[in-house]
Amino acid sequence: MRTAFYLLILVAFQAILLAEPHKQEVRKELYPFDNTQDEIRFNRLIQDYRCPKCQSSNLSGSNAPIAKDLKLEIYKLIKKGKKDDEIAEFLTQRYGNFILYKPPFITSTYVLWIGPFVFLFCILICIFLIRRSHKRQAATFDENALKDKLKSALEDR
Amino acid sequence: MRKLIHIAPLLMFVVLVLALFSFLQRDVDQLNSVLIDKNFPEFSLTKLENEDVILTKNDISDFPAIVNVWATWCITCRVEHPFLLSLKEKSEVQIYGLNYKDDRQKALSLLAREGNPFKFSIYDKDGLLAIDLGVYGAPETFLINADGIIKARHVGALTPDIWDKKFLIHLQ
Repeated sequence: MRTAFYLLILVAFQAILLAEPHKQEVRKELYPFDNTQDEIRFNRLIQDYRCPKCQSSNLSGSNAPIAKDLKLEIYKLIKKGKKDDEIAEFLTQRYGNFILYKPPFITSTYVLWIGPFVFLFCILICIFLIRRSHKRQAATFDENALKDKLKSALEDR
Repeated sequence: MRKLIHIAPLLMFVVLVLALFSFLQRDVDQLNSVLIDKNFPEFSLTKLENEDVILTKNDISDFPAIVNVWATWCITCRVEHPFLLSLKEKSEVQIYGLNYKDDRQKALSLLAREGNPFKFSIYDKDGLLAIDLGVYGAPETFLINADGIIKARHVGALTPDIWDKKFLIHLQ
C-alpha cells in the first residue's frame, strides 16, 4: 500500500518535470524575444500585473482573453524598446492603479502603507502601559505588606 | 482607566477585523474607470457595417451618447440588447457600438436578426480600442455627456434601474 503511494508520488513528480520544459517552449514560441534579458523582463512583468478580469491572479497565471491581450500588449511594448516604468504608465493610464500588485504611495493608499506601523506602535504603547501598571501594582502591594509587617511588629512590642 | 488599557489591544483588533470585513462586502466587479472626466480616446478602426470606412474619434460627434462594448460571443450582451433597443426608441441619447473581438459577418447577422440599436458600430477585431478604454469584460457601457466628456462606465448588462441611478444623473 505504502509502496504504491510512493510510486504514485514519483510518477506525479516525473509528470511535472516532463511537463515543465514543454510549457516553457510553448511560451517562447508565443512571445519570441531576440535576447534573454527581454525575455526575463517579460516573464517578470506579467507576474507583476494583475488580471483585471480574474482579480486574484496575475497576467501570467490568467487565461482570460483580456489577460492574453495585455500580455501581447506588454510583449509589443518590450519589443518597441519601452522601459519598465513606461509600460507601467501605459497600463495604469488605462486600467488604473488597480492593475498594480504593488500600490503606489499616494493619499488613498496611506492607510495601506502606514496603517500596519501605526497599529504596531499602538500595540507597543499598550504593552508598555500594561507592564508599567503591573509593576506599580506590584510595588503598592509590597508597600502594603511592609506596612502590615511593621504594624504587627509594633503591636507585638 | 487602567481597565481600558487592558482591553485596548482587543478593541483595536476588533476594529481592524470589522474594517477588513467591510472591504470584503465591496463590489469589486465594478472597477473605477480611469477615463471618467476625460475625452474619448483617439482611434482609427473600420466601421462594422462597411469595412472600407475608417472611423475616428471625430465620428462620435452627437452628444450625449453612450458607447456600448458588445460581441456576439457575449451572453450578457444579448440580455441587455432589448434594453438598448428600447433606449433607442425613447431616449435622446445616441447609442454607438464597439464590436469587440468578433466576427464581422456574425455580428452583422445578429443585428439583422435581433434589431440594431446602434447608430453604427466600430469594428475592433483585436480589442485595441478596448484596451485604450480599459475594457475588461463585455458588455461595458461608457456615458459621454453633452460636452463630449466621459462621465460614467458600467460593467455588465444595462438595466432601467442602473440607467436611472448611474447614467441619468449625469445628463440633467
